[in-house]
Amino acid sequence: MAGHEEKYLDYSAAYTLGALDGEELSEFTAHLKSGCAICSSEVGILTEMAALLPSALRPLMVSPDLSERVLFNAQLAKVAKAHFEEAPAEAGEPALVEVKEAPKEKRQAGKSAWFSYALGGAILFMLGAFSLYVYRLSLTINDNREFIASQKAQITKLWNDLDRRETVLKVMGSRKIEIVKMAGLRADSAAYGTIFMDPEKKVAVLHIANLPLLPQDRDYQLWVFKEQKKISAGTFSLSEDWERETFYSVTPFDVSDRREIDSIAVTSEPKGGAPQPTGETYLLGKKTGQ
Amino acid sequence: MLGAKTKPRAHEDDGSVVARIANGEDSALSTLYDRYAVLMYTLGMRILRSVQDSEDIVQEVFTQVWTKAGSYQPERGSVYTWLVTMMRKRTIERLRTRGFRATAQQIDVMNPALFGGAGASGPESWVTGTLKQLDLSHQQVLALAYYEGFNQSEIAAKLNIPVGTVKSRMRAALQRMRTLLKEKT
Repeated sequence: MAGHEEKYLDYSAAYTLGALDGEELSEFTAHLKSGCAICSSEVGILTEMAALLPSALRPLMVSPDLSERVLFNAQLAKVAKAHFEEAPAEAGEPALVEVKEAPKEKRQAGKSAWFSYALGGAILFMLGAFSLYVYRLSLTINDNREFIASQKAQITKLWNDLDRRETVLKVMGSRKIEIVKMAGLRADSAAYGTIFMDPEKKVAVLHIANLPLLPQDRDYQLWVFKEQKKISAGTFSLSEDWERETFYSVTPFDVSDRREIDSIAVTSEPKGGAPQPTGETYLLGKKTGQ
Repeated sequence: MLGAKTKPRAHEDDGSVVARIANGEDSALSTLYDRYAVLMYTLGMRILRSVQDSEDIVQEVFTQVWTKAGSYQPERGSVYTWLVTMMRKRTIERLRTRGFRATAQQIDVMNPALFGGAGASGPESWVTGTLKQLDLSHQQVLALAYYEGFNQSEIAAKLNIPVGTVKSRMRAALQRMRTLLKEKT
């Protein structure tokens, strides 16, 4: 055994961290192989210390299907191991086929048949395991597709919301804003609404609050009344999760001559809107101007 | 979680789990995966910065555990150390062979938070606390060797210090860690 030297203790740390290189690595590896108990112990202790380093890292999330892949690989390795443990015994024997002695041929034939069955079984098992893996993967993909679809819907909703907010800012930033306040027409109604419009930019923002939910086959429709004409300015509907108060952008809102506007109303109409008001009026307001 | 066939055994030590793996019990592999996969994957990501490669190596290590569990020798170290050492060894091999290594410009050797936990949000682990007590010069050599896979000559060149100093700092760093951890336990 090569004698222990103090310098090897310094080598041991670099060795543990995989940083020892060149001749020092060869020298220290040989020293360890010689059986130095001091250095072996030191390397063992320092290895335990170095292995603690990853536990200081902020843990990252692992892909949910990685565990299935690990198990699948393990099963494959198990099958492969079982196969290859048998294979070497078979590998050296094909030459025996040439030997004419009957008992050996029978033995060989028996082994070959067994080997074929084992190999067939292994292949079947692998196919089965692979099919199961593919099936589970397809389920995961479907789940992910649904998740992506819901995220896309959420993104669309947020874009629409952003769009609305931008319109609000656009209108609020106008030099002259026309405002028409609307009140609920039902006796028990707490509903109200306001329309902020910029005739120059042909945009408007409708603010509503406390409107009741309509049946699924009906929409609210916004109307502009001017000079005895009733002009539709679009429809909107409320979902069950609406927060009792919201904004809608009304674009284009063609009121080039705002003086013509008499009043604005919100009615209930069949889904998609009607050419003329037919249903109950929920909100009504006369232009006051500012 | 893997598809465990048997009920997990509460408070089962890692050595017993590995022994069950050696006997071919799928559920034992599942238990070991649940205990260490996140740590191993995090280590892979810290070194390689690649999801695909980190996951590949986690798979490789667990496959090795599954096939070689019988060769595990408790007297040579804990199961935790065994797993982390295998993971880190394979990861560094891939780093060196595939040129994943970050360029010198990407490594901020002066960063006091060289170890992810230091400065990371959330509760601080006792190991993180210990690492933060190390001198910055010690943290640097540990991080460059352990996470970036540089050998002592490369570290010496990067930090412009003698190779001998690199070696002594590495040893001093690991010994200091040991002392601090002993004090905490």
